[in-house]
Amino acid sequence: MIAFLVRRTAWLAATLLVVYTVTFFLMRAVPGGPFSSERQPPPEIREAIARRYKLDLPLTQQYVSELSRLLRGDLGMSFRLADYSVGEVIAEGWRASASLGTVAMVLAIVVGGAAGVVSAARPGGLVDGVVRVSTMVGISLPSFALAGVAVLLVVYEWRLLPAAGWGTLPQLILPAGCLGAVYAAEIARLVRSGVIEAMQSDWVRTARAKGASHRRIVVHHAVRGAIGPVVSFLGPAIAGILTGSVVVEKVFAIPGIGYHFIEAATTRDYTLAMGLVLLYTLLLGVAGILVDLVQAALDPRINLEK
Amino acid sequence: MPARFRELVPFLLAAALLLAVGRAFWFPAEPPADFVFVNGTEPKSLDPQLITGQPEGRIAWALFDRLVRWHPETLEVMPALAERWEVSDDQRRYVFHLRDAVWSDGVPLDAPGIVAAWQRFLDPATAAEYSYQLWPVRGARAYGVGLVAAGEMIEVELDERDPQRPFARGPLVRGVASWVGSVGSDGTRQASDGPALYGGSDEDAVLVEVDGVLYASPDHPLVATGDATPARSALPDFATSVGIAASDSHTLVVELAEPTPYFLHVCGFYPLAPVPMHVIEKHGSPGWTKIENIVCSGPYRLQFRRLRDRVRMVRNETSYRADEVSLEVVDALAIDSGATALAMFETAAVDWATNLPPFAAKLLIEQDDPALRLRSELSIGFYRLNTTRPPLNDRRVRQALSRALDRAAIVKAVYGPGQPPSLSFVPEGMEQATGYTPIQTAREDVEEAARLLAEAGFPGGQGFPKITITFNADEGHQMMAELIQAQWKSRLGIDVELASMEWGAFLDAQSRLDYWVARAGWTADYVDPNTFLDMFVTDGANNQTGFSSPAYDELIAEASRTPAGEVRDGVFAEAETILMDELPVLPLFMRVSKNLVAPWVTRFPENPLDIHPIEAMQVDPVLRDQARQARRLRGVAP
Repeated sequence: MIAFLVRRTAWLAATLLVVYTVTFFLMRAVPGGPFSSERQPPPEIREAIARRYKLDLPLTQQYVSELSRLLRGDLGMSFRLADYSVGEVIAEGWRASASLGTVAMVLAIVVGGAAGVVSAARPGGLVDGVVRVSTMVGISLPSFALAGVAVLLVVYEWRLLPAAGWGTLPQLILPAGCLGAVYAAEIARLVRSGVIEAMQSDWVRTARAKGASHRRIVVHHAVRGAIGPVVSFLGPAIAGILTGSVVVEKVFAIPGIGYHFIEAATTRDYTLAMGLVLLYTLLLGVAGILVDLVQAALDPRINLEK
Repeated sequence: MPARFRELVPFLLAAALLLAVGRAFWFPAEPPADFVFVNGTEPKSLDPQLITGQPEGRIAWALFDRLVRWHPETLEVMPALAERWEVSDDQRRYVFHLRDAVWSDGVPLDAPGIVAAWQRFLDPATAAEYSYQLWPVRGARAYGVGLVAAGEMIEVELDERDPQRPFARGPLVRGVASWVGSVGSDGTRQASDGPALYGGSDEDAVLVEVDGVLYASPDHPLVATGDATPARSALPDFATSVGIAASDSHTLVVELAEPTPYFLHVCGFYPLAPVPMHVIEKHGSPGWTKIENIVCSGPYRLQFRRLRDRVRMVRNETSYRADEVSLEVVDALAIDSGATALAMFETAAVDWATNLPPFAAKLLIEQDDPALRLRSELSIGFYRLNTTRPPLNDRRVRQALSRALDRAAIVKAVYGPGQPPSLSFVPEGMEQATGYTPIQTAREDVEEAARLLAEAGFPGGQGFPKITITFNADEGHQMMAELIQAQWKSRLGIDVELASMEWGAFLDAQSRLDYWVARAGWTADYVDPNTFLDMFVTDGANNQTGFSSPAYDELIAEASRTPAGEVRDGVFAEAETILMDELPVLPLFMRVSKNLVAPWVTRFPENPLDIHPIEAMQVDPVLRDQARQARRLRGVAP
């Protein structure tokens, strides 16, 4: 296991460096800069600003100095949110994104898992039909459309929940539901096909031959077959959900990390954008390693050393 | 892996999940604010010297006081930190008499503090975008640009730090620079040809010599060898070259280079608000803006700030204006999405929403919704024409493009009624505000437009190259461009393409003159025609059309030398006549501010700069609670 961890960590470090380098040069290749404005200050002031933030240096020199600062563990100051360092922006946004993401994920696992099992128990039945249609809708419906409909119905029509904002429990429900729905649909689909496949397997046939009830076979034996694909899916899904959802955070005015992603790119906030890209890559890598570890812990057939 | 452990894994995962959920549901409880408004995008900074946008401004107006302030409705200059002031007859010398004001930590806000704050504002190391607002002051521009030359009085800031005030400027050496230039690696001295920027560590690094001592940037090789004294900066001497001084603790004297009639007004603009140097010197920038460090001077002070959520402000009891403030606790929500802002307003979660989506504004205008406050701004929506590209370099072509447009129909179709078209570049509201009557360009005349186009060599649009209207991605801009495209096609017979661009790329293309026709907007910085007309001087930073007219440049320069009055207005009128005849820009419509204000807000000050001082607002709490009760959510409390 140690060898596995060392190998994967080395790969992750190499990936981070490549991602950092590519993003750095891509960001600077895009026209405009962090101080682009409809109101241009006189050229002398623009030059002073460029000097102050070292944007006047040759690109390779900027790259070297930024990279050496990063290696010292400093992500730098945000350009657009000038009172904050990139680390502070991430720390502040993390709280909201993690809260929202956790609730959404739990909702997705509970609702999606249950729906998948129920629909796989009687494939082709009425329940199965309903679940299959709603998962198709859930997967293909863009989240802004879902959020829009949810706001229209729940906020305007029924007046059940607040429209937007952050800081109270009711404000969490609607966005978590909208964010979780997409993942719930995906999980339901994975669980359903996993269970149905397991139902054809030898061990289920054995269990059936021993006289186990249909209920016991589905819940006790077949579900295990679906866990593998779901855990594999959860790895990248958790990385994605923790770094926030751009649309849901914008519609419901949630101070998470997701919206920073878009804002940092459109306002050419070089340092913040780089920090977020690195964070996402890191989370994705770590989640991948964790998934493999959990898989190995759950499934005796998997050996990490191979 | 032992089988028993394997059995435990699902339970461990479930327990971790439960813990995470518990954490997710935990929220710190905040008491509700008395007044909540949608402030738009997250403010860039709380430091008033480093900001330029409107959401930033709304916070800065509340937290930091200025020498003077503007009447909330008429925008007339009123006393603020300065109780009274005298202006010399030549309008070049201002003496401000300060009242006994204090910062929110009790430290006096006196004249030497304001001088130091303005020096920081001008210092090129601060890199303040709006610092040119102070450039009318004698010597301010040279100091802000930071060029030093041999034979001039300069100030050298030594690289020494005071542990008590780690971010203060170092000790100053003041004297005449006997030599300015660079020193090669072999020790040869190369004097600079003219004024140069001090600093750097390479071959071309600029060093200065004062009283036989050579000063260089702390990372310069000569410092390491002991041949030069480390100095952080070398700038023109502030005390002698810049016209800002404190004659005593309560008197600030400002000398201008030219009589600048709008200078007093600019003193009320937020970037000129004094900042607390005693806090900045201790905590640095941006450290001083943190909640545990910040001190304020305005009618409000900061209580907390949560990124992308809210800035909470509370009444500042130490302000001399504290008694005038009626709203105790105010929340400024950082909400970008207009649709979200509207939803919050409709559910009575906010009292004032600023950034309405265009489709909603149009709908509310048509429904005549009483909550929507419309007001003409000193702001103009226009198209820039690239005068360096044929055929737009031909004045007749530009005139034809202008005269072919039915502005009223276009503007009404895009924004609904209530957004008046404009034939002048200076918005009409300027007349009421200053007495200056804007000069209009020729009215719509399709026949004349066709004749001008034919005269330029394109009868019926024949042979006219394909040009493009560029705009930043936005529903309203798109629709307006489509309507203009259709009118130019049907009335002039010319084909125009449309190109929607991402904001940063769009600004970049405009400043590089890489466009044909580009949409633009401009809002007054201060109440004076100059804020619109000085844009189009040759190579002006915001000209961006390639337009250059020596006569125009001369008129703008003349206006800056002329005291306010009819003569100066006449000079501006002459300049605008040139502009409206040459047409490097097509004025299209006067922008109207659109604010959604709840009916229980009993006082909501409005003015043509779309500034709404929170300290002057009032709310009827009984009415508000009734309304909130009526709109209360069924499920849970808001």
